[in-house]
Amino acid sequence: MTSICIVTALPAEAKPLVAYYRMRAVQHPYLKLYEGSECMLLQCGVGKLTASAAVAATLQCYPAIKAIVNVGIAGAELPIGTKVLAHSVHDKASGQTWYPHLPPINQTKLTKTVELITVDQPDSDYTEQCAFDMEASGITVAACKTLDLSFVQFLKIISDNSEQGIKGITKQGTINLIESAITDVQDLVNAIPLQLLPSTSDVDTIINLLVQKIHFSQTQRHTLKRLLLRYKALLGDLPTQETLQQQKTADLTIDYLATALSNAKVRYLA
Amino acid sequence: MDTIYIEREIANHTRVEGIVARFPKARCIHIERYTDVFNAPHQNFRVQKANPALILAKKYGKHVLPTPPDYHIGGKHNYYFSHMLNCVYDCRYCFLQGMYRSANYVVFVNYDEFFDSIKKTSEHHEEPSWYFSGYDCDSLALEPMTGFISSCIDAFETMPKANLEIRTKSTQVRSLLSRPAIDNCVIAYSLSPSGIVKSEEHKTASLEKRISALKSLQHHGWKIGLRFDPLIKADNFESIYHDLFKNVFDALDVAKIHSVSIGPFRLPRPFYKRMIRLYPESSLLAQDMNLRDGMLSYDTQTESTLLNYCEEQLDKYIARKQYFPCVSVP
Repeated sequence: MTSICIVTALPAEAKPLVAYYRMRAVQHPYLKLYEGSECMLLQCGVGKLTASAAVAATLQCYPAIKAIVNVGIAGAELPIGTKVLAHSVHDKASGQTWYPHLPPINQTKLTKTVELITVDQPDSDYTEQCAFDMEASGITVAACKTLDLSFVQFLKIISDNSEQGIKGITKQGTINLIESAITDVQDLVNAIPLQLLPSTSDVDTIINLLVQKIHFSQTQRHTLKRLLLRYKALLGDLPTQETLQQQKTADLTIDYLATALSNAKVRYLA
Repeated sequence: MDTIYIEREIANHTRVEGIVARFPKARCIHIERYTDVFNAPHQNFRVQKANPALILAKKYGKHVLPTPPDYHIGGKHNYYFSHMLNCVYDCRYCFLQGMYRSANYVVFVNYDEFFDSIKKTSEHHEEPSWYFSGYDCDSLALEPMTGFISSCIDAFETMPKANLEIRTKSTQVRSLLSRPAIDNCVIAYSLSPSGIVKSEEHKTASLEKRISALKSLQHHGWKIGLRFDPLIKADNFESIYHDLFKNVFDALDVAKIHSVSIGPFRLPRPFYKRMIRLYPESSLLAQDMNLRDGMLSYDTQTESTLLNYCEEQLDKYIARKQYFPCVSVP
């Protein structure tokens, strides 16, 4: 299961990325999802409400997703084909703003950043500092229910400006714009700092196996997780599944771990 | 620094221009108020710590605040101020990890308003008053970029009734060594045993370098302070703290040390809960803790053992008048 999900609104935005990442369609009754070895792709449809619902449903179905990268076209008073990162996402209707924590500058060639304004209807009040799209705020709202803003990024390719308005956008033109940004998408995907997230999957695995054998209440599960994390931090490794199962009851398991922790030695180098 | 957020109101401030000029490749993003970015939800302190942004802002409201009751080094009127929020270092025990949502650095550029506030506060008291820098940041670590401490010392030179403590782990002391020491300023170093520095005080100068900086400062005429805070529990606690005290006091002119303080390890419960979520693998945070009055700390017996041992050791080196236990908490 991959940890990064690229989100596009249009099929023409999805197509070059699906091809580049050699993704295959995932069978789902309502979502247009694709999966490859490096990342997933959600084609969420146009508009912030649609985007928000699709992203929320995807994150619910695939809790292993730890980052969202929105790739798509946008309007701004910049040359057609300019690639920009969003340093902020602003929802025009609500006035709410979010600030994604941008990746290190040496990990992406994207030097131009803009305020990305999500509008409900196409807007042609173009400026250099702002780009318009119709999904970003919806994606952000949904993504932030489970992810931090270091893991929600927006890469836009300028498709319309005051010289070439929105009517000039074509399907093939959109495909070409996304194709021109493939390397930037790849750099951005690689720059997502997933390695900085603490991993507790081994602890979660051991708990999932243990609760199949011994009954733990929710409170006891919470205690068990904290004790196992402390055990690993202080003793360097987790107890074996067999050792824990020998304790027979939840209380005995918790007592066993608490006793082991109280005897743990912490030494610092002289 | 990759990303610099700048409040629009101070975008043309000379200090802002000076700081931005040091980072020609940085993305500069204009914002209304620093709180829009710094206090926003859905941030990850641990992830941001690897690549923090700089936020340049103007400080409004109170620039100087009273310290907690036991936070002092002998003065009757004690205040702290923070020209910066967050620290370039990454000490696993630091309360800032639990206090702020963001690891980005906020630098307030309206230094003069801090100094005016300090002046007014000091004039309000007939007795000398104390002002502690380095409560929400390291005072010196970004000095080459901010120049705040240099300006601060200039200001304190004109306020003989006001005393300044500059708390730091940084060895960026060039600016202090390039000027005469002033009488109403103490440069105070936070010190821990070498093994704790290496394991828990990430990105900080080594103990040896801190001792070397202290020696240079003392030799230059600055009053120096030693802050053994927080005391960290370990099975070889006595041996590592014994070595620490010996190394520090053997290197310095002990009689000229202005003040020495020790402080127990304590964290407000909400901070602690956030910190263990951020760093579940930390052995320091995984140790047994007790909850007392909303604070997480070692059990009272362990805490007393640590404090008593350190006080016994300190008695061998310093006079009682130099010693100030600090049991206050953030």
